[in-house]
Amino acid sequence: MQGVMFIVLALVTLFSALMVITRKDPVSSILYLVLTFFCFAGFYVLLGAQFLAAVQIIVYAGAIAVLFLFVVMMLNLREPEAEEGKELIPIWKPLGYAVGIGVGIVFLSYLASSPGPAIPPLNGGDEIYAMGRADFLGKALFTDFILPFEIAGVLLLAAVLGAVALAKKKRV
Amino acid sequence: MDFAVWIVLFPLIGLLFNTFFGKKLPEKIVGWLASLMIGASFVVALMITLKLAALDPEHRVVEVTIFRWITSGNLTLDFAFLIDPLTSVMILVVTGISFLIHIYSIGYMHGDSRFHVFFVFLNLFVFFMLVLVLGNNLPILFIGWEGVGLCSYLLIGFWWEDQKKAEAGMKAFIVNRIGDFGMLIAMFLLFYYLGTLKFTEMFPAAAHLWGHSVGAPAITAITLLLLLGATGKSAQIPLFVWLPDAMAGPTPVSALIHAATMVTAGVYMIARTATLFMLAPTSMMVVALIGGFTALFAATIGIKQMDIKKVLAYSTVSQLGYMVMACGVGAFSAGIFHLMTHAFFKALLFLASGAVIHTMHGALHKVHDHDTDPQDIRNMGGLRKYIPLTYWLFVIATISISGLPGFAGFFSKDEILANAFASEGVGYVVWGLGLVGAVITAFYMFRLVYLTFHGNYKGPEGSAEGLKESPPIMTAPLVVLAILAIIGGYVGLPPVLSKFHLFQTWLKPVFEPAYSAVHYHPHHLSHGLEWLLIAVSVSAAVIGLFIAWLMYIKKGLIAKSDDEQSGIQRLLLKKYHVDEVYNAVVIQPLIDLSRYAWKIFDAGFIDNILVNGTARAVRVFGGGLRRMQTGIVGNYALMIALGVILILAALMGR
Amino acid sequence: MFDNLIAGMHVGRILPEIVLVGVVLLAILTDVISPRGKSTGPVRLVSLAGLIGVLVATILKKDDFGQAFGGMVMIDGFTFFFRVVLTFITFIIIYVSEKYIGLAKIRIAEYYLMLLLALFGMMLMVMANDLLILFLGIETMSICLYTLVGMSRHKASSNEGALKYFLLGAFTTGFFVYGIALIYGSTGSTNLTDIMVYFRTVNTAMPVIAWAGVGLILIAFAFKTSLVPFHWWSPDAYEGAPTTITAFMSTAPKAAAFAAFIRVFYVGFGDLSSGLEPVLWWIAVLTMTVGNLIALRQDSVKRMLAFSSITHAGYLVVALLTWEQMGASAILFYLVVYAIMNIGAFLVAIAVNRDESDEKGYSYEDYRGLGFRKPILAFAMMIFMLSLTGIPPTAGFFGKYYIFSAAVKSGFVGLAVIGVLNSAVSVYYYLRVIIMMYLKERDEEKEAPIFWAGEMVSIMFICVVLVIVIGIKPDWLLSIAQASVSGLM
Repeated sequence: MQGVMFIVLALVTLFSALMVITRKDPVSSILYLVLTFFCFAGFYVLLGAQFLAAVQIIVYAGAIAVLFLFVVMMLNLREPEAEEGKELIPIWKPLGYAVGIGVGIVFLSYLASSPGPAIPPLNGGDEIYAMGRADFLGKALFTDFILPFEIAGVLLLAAVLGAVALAKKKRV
Repeated sequence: MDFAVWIVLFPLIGLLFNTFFGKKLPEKIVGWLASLMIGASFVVALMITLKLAALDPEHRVVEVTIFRWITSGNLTLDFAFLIDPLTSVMILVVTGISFLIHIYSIGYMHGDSRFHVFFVFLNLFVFFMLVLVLGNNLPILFIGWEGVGLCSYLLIGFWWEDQKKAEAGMKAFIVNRIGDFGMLIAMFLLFYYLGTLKFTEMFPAAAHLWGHSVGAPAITAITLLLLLGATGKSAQIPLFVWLPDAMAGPTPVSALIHAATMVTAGVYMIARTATLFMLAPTSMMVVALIGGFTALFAATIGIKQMDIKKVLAYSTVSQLGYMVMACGVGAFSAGIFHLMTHAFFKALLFLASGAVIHTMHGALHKVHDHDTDPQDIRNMGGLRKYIPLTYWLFVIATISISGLPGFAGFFSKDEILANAFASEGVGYVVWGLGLVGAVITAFYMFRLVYLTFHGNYKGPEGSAEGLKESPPIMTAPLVVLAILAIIGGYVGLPPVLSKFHLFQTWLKPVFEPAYSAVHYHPHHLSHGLEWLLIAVSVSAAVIGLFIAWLMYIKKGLIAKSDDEQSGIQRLLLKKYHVDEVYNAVVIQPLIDLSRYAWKIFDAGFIDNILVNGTARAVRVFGGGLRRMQTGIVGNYALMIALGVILILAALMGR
Repeated sequence: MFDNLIAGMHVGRILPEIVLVGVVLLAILTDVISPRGKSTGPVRLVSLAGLIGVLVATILKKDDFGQAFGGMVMIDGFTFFFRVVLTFITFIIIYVSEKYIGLAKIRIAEYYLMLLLALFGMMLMVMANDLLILFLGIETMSICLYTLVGMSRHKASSNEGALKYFLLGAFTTGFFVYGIALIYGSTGSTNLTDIMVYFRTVNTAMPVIAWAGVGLILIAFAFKTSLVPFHWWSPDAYEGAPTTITAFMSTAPKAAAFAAFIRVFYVGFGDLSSGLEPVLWWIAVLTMTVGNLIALRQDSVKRMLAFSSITHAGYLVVALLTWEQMGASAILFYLVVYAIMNIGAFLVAIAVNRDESDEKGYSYEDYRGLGFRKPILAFAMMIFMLSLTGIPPTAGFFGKYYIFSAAVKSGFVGLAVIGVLNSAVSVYYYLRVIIMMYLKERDEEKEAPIFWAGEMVSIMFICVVLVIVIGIKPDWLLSIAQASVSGLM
């Protein structure tokens, strides 16, 4: 059952991710992005991380993607002008395909020659379920992972300050 | 012998003082202060030599540590001086000649707007040169090596105005870097094999390591790399191209750096590392051949040059060839001997030619002629009548360099040729090269004398009245040098004339370990054979002199202009087209490669083609108008992804 | 129980970082309470005082070495060395900036805040003993750098550089995270010590996928240290950034990235050295050569310095490749020396530049006859150029000397030869500046006034002195570097 779910999710993820980068119209591109985020949430559920799945939907599919949509609509970035679509140098497109396929082949061949995960799978569904719960995560964040957690706070501060610095009106 | 440190401190004091106060002070004070500092160094050098002479010959190796310099892991180096007979010869030559040239420069540079800067550079040069010859390990030698290169470069460029000369001068530095590259690699390899870079430890270690496998690939490679360094600094084939161009600098610089001292550093380095070279017979052969061919090759170019300094430049290259050749046949002390006598007569030649140029310049200046080249011998002639003192000094030096008996050059050159003849292997070949070179040397030197000083004055109308002897401050050092160019050779009389070879005996403790490392015994010639060799080399000089006399005095030939030359003359005039070949083979490909790499790897190029080549939309973003080129980023990302593939694939197939 | 937990964390060992965050908050507060438009002066002073505090905290904790937070960070001599170096560099950049940011029309308090936060990120990078912390450190630093590069919003080149840097940086961050995931997946840990233990025990039977992880992390480092072929962002970012930031970026973040590089690859992946060797060999050769060849063709001194900084990174990879203490200490030595001479060179470039609002600027032409116009300034520049070239007796010579002798000692003779050849080629473009200064006639009509600031002059002076002092007596710095890496392996 889980195997089938995974394959279906994986196919949908790949399809929507491809659509994100191939759509010319930014709005539909973003909508496919939302779909991709949903699929990620599905993966989290399959892995027993139901809290993360919920957060993924709320933050990414909800907040971030919607923000993207707003920006796109406000700036009215519809279809790019025609001249932009002109082929700049014909070599780039085929090269892009080739490199993309190359990356795929390299990773697949790595996967193919790997015996499997080194860490043993967690025993039983209960343990997995327990690890995905919010209280478990909260405890981990405030004990073992207190330092990364705090650093992430500083990182966000830096990001906010940076965004403000670049966005605010000139006053010099 | 702690006072030895003062030998480098004096020039340092001089240059610091002139750096800070030189601009405001009158020329006389600046010049004399700089000169006296070098004079003081010379006195210290004399004291060092005397102290050294007071010791037993076996104990004439003194190390003076100044401070602990590098301690890194297993490499410990002191900033220390090594004082032995070889060093003493070098410091005497360096400080002595420098002192004279400093004094000469006071007159020569008179009135120059950057008078004090010139003396700062000159003092700095002497400082580095002394560090070079005094250092007790290779890194210190290398610091001096780079330092003198830098000073030489600064001084060559002292008067440059136009782009073309600037580029020509860059050649000096870049060619030298090729040589330095060899030095550095050799240094790393020596450290790798021997674990030390200190001379006193390095040579026994090398003898121990390679003594039983003489000619091992490692030591051959190391010595060949050292040789590469020497060919750069001492202007040997294939790296000699920079020296003739270096003549663009003021004449005292040519005399000091590009004739008497810096260019001999390569020879000094080979002599210093004699033990290493002796352990690599193949390298020795290469050294001998390079020296021999350079001696001949440069001499032939000298035949056709029209610029008085260019003739002397090629003659320097040729004479350096003799020194290198001497080292190559194992006659290190003969090489150093020639280094010393050459310093006397070549400095004299350059300074005298400087006096000639000074005179010509003054004369041309009087008639407001700024188009005539004061260095071109086709504009001279008959100067003997106007500047007799300079003429006689020039003649003395010419006799000395040509190897006519009794003068300094005769003894040293004869010793080199005799040693070459006596040595095994390529001995006869290099002897032959040297001998033919000697004929040509005598020829082109006397050609120079005849064209410059004999015949009729060929300068512009009316300028003859302006020809005046140079001031005493310039001629006095010349007289001293002339005396040395005559008597300087008597410290090394050949065995047939005297049982006691002072110079060789003095240097013997330095080179003895090199010989004993490979159980080498210099060959001795029978007296009869030696007399014969002397006769041959004297007649070589006389033949050269005679041909020159026949052509330029008897037949009264005058130098032809460039267009009239043909065939081999043209080839000589154009210096065998070496510059052109270098340009086509080395420089142009490098430029092409750089352009090519730029096209592939420089992001800017992609932008230019893609962005300027196609009229991209100017996007409106936020409040202001901005040109954005974000589309191109995708292409960079593609390149990065390509790198990812390569690295992951490489790691997979590891 | 809670007390035990706290005690086991050894919070005190990261005191300097805690102080630094405090300083950031204080600086933000200062910005808010200062009069509008006049806040940079006070913020700068708070930052400088705060950095001194950070330095004091670092020195106070000098003997309190060991891991903290369950092994997530490692405080040792190596960390100490880089904490001091990075704090100094940041201090210098903040110290010299005030007048320049007025000239460059970026007088906003965020300029200083971003520098402080970047320092925080870098300090995390140098002490990270866990890939997670490393990731957070790199991201914190990078976000600040993206902002700093794009600070000159009125200049297209600045915007362009920032955007390129940001997009490509985000792109490689993806590879980095994927690498961490693969490493975690195959070793079961993100902790470098655990990873090392794992690799040591499985050694031959190592899962192939772990190699992909190692490779991806290598790529992330190659990007941050701008090694070929991951260097694309750096010339544009360096050129577009305000020049003080260029000086900063080519020294401090590069040092931090190399520090992390050393720790991850010497500690974590130390047993994989033989497998990584060929890849790093080629990266080193390409990086040295390509940077050089392109720097040859530049007409802007700033861009030349940017490309040459790629070459210098290549030299550092040569030393990294030795996988020995000698190579690691050579890297530390070189990073300090490079920081000194490069900051000096950029300061001269700022002083000489004709017009800060010019998009390109920094032309070689501006140096025409500088040797006669401003002898002292030109002399300083000459010293920096000679040192960058690696000519004795300057500090740069010993930097290269140690690197190449370490390489030869480890048997990488070919690499040393290529390196020395490259440094011979680099003479050409560094010397071009000297030629312009000393061998070209002044062109008085075209001369622009020199931009002077007292702070810049004093730092320039210190840099010149240091370059010469280290050039004459290098071993004290080297022995510090050696002591710093001794605990690493």
